[in-house]
Amino acid sequence: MVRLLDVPEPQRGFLAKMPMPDIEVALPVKGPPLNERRVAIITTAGLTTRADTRFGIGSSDYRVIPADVSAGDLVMSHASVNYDRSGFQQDLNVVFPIDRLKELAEDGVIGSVANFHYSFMGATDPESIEPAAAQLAGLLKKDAVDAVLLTPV
Amino acid sequence: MIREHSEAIQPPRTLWVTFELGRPLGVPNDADFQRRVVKTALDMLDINETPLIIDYSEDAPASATGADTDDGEGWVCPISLSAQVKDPTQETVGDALVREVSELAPWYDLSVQKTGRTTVGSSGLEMPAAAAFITSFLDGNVPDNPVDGERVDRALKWACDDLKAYYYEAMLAQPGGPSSRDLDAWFFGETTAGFVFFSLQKVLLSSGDEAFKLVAVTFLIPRLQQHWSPLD
Repeated sequence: MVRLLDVPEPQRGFLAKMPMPDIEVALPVKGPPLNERRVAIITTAGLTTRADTRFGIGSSDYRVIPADVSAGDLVMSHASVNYDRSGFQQDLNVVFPIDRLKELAEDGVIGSVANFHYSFMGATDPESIEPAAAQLAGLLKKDAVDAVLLTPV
Repeated sequence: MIREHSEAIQPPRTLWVTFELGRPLGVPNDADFQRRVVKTALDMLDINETPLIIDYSEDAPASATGADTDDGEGWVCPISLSAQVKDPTQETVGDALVREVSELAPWYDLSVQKTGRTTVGSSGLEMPAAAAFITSFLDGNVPDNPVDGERVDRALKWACDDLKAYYYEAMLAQPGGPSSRDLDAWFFGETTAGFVFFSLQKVLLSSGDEAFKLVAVTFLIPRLQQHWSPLD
């Protein structure tokens, strides 16, 4: 995986017919070198802290995940059952690589790790997410983030 | 994570990986592998010719994917669970599920001890209560919602996710862990819980409630497991 030809039916047919949003191609923005960048994670894995509201079917909002969250404090309320969760059950970092980012910051490979990271629930209409994404962009700026690692599931 | 989707949407920079859906970093508990993936993705920030898709050069090792190995032996559940329903005149499916949950408890506890965490908890229900809530739908009635302030269809969905996570974590505590395909085949094909999921799907589809039908059709049983049913 993950190329459609490698996905068994009937999952392949479902994914092939999935409507794609018409999104304007973003122009590249030149930023500082990687060792000066402040990096945040945005995942579509439907992660929430245990104290936060779970995602429901069709949710188009986001949840905040603080950088100092403990792995045991995160649960996954993604609607879809058509992807593997056993990797996440073994290791949070396989969907939310917060420990890897912290190591890269310690090693000087990246500048720093953002104070806050974000989670969406990916099984929803992408266009319905746009208002929340625009709001989230403002939060990232306030946290001085200039690089985002997107981790879809 | 679908290459064709990235080609259509054209995000500025995409590192395309061959890992299975649900594992964007590829391999659990392999920090070096994950770090290489993250570093390669972040290095793309220096390239300003976008939209850009780069093919990641590493596949997840067979030991992490459960791909067929040379020994010719597939994974077999090392735990001997009791018959799904020992005696239909003496035991309901609900009783059998509670018994099965109890039989798995030592392995689930071992998993929590080994990993220091659990992913069970979306519903907020303890496992016996989650199992009882799920099976209480099987007679065709909608039970009282045990999750305060939430829609009952969502509570049911989360309870099902929790039950499945409990089973998978119990199995992942075993040495020589199973692949995701092994786990799905075992859960839906060999356990009382899997039987309950198929039974629940049938009940919800005939409920007349659109929210329950949506759960039944889309958010309960993976598409790859819907080619058969123990109820057939």
